[in-house]
Amino acid sequence: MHLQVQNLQKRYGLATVLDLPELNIDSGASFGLVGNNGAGKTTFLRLVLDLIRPSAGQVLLNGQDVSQDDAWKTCTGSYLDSNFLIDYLTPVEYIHFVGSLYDMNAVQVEEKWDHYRPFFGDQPLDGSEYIRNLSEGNKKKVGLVAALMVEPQLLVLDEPFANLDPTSQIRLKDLLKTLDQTTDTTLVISSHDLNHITEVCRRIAVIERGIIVRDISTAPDTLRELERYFAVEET
Amino acid sequence: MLYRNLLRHQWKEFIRNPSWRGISVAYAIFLVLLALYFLLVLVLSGTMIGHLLTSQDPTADVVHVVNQHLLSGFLLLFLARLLFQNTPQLKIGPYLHLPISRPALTRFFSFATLFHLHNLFPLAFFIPFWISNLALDYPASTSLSWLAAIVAILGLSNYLVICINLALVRRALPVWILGGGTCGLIALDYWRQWGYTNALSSVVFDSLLGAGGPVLALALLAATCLLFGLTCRLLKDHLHDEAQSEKVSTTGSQSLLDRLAGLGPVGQLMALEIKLAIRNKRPRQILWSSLMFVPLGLINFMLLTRGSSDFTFLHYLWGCLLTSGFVINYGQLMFGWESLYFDGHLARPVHFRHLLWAKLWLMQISCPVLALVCLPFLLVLAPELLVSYSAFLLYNIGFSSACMLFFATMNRKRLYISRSSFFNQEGTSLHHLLVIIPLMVPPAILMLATDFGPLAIAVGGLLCWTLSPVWVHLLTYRLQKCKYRMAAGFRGRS
Repeated sequence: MHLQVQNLQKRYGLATVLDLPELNIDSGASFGLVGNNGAGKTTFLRLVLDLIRPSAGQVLLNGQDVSQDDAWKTCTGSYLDSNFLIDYLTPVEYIHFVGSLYDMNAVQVEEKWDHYRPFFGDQPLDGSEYIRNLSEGNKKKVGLVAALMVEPQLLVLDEPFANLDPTSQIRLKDLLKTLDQTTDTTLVISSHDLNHITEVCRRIAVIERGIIVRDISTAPDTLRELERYFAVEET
Repeated sequence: MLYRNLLRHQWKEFIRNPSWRGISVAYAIFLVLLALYFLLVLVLSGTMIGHLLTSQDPTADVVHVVNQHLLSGFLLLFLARLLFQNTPQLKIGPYLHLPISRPALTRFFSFATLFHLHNLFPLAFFIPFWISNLALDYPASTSLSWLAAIVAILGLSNYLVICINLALVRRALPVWILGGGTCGLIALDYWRQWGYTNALSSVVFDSLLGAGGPVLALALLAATCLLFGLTCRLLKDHLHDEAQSEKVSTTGSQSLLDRLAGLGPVGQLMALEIKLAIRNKRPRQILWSSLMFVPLGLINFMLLTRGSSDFTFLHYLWGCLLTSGFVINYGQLMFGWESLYFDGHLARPVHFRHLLWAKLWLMQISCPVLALVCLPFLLVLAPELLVSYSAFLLYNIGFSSACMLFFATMNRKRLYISRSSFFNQEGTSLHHLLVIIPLMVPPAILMLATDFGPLAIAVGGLLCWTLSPVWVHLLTYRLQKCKYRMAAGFRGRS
């Protein structure tokens, strides 16, 4: 799915928290967004998902303005934060609920659940606990599985590696890399983990105070370059 | 020092409670005035009840008359506490890892429950009553025995509720059987005018004024202390319950919900809403109180207006409220309940039309369900009101449900639905109390302006019901327009 941003701005009062005159993410691309806290990463992802209204400009998915038509939702998988989780359902109930929204039948959902089940390691997610009683890491895994299992053409994830145990981080990284290499899914991922994001994404944008200050194709020295950039920022 | 710090924390917890978050100044002032009003009513009732009773019957023994009704009063108060009062388990949690002795913690938090409004508000009646009717007219030992017994019974009922809640841990059925049975017996006693509740009450409380009064009062105080000790012990034994208290129950209702979810997107969303209502504390309490208080209120109302054949304003008001309890209490926060995951709905293919139909149908179905609950009481107590109340049922199905769904699209505040609903004002504002007015106005006009009021109300309700697709269409458009503001509010940004 081709993602295009035109003169996108988000303002709160007098403060402009995001200002992207132009951005194109091609279909099948893996786009990573890095930046410090408050840089505008989540705001951008919320605008892509039409969760907040832009102050100016638009986000187009395959040429269609996301705020004008809901058709893009059926081919988009996303997980930004726990506000996506219905915490009084069990993980299995939640997965079935999300699957039904994407016209998946129970058998298809079960197949997907079995496919992603190893992601949870030895955790006994047998439907005996509500999501609200899971650890933060397991909550995140439920959200990630719900986003991944719908075979999206556009996958939008905010801080997917945060709160995950090391094994799950590596599993997720491999999953995303496989998805990027074997499908035409467009990945849009924000992360503070420079190591993982440079491994998963072929294109990285650095965002600072709502503006993209660097937009680079991932190369062997990208990680070092980003580390240098943020180290300088810190000083 | 420890207790002083804990006391300070309790005070900070009260004033920094998230329940106060997001409340407008006007609403806060309204709530304070309302609380003061209730307090004043209680104080004045306690002071003036003697004058009121003697003005009607100069020979009346005021204390005896009040004593007669104390038992039923305490029982009803006990049932209300059973429904709303929390155990102090959660409050102890943050202190468990600190080097504080657990018995000290359980003692403090058990004792602190005595200062709950459930206990303080009744004293606002009893202390003025005691001063104006007992303190001067009876010997000090007798009058003090009476007051000590009242305080002891409040304490007893406080600790008994905590013990029951700790012992039952989420097994609600016995509580409902106990509560329903007690209410039924009291109502039957009053309705048939047998008077055994009053007689028993007289025996207990009048004897406090006799020679054995101090002994009885001391016995009640000792029982309270014993129950306090038992509460501390139970609390200590249940300190670790919270982590395992939320296992999913696999009941028959689950398969019903699965079947409902299989009926398509609207059924799926209805099943989700029902799970929301039964699996989260605040909506669950509202659901239960809608179910329970409507027939209870009906009994009370019918007993008060017994013998009056005119269709009074009270009859009309109650006719409107009888079947709309769920619609008003739950329905007006229909979108607020989903505030914690509204973003998820927006980012996924959840069609607003389906969402609105699911919510509307649930509200519409709740009206006949409440009517069925009340039907036996109505048939026994006032069968002559059946026709007019059926008209109000149709009105609530057709008009009230759609009207409340419209008000629900004004929800902008995040609700933490796992917290108790008692004294929890989070997410509500003044307009939540005022929404009842537009529900009342149309039938009031129809009742006053026409000679065939019930028929007009029924026809109006049916007409509104047939127009449901139009309301859903209009509300879909409205929701589409205000979804960003709703989502921003639900995230905590206005």
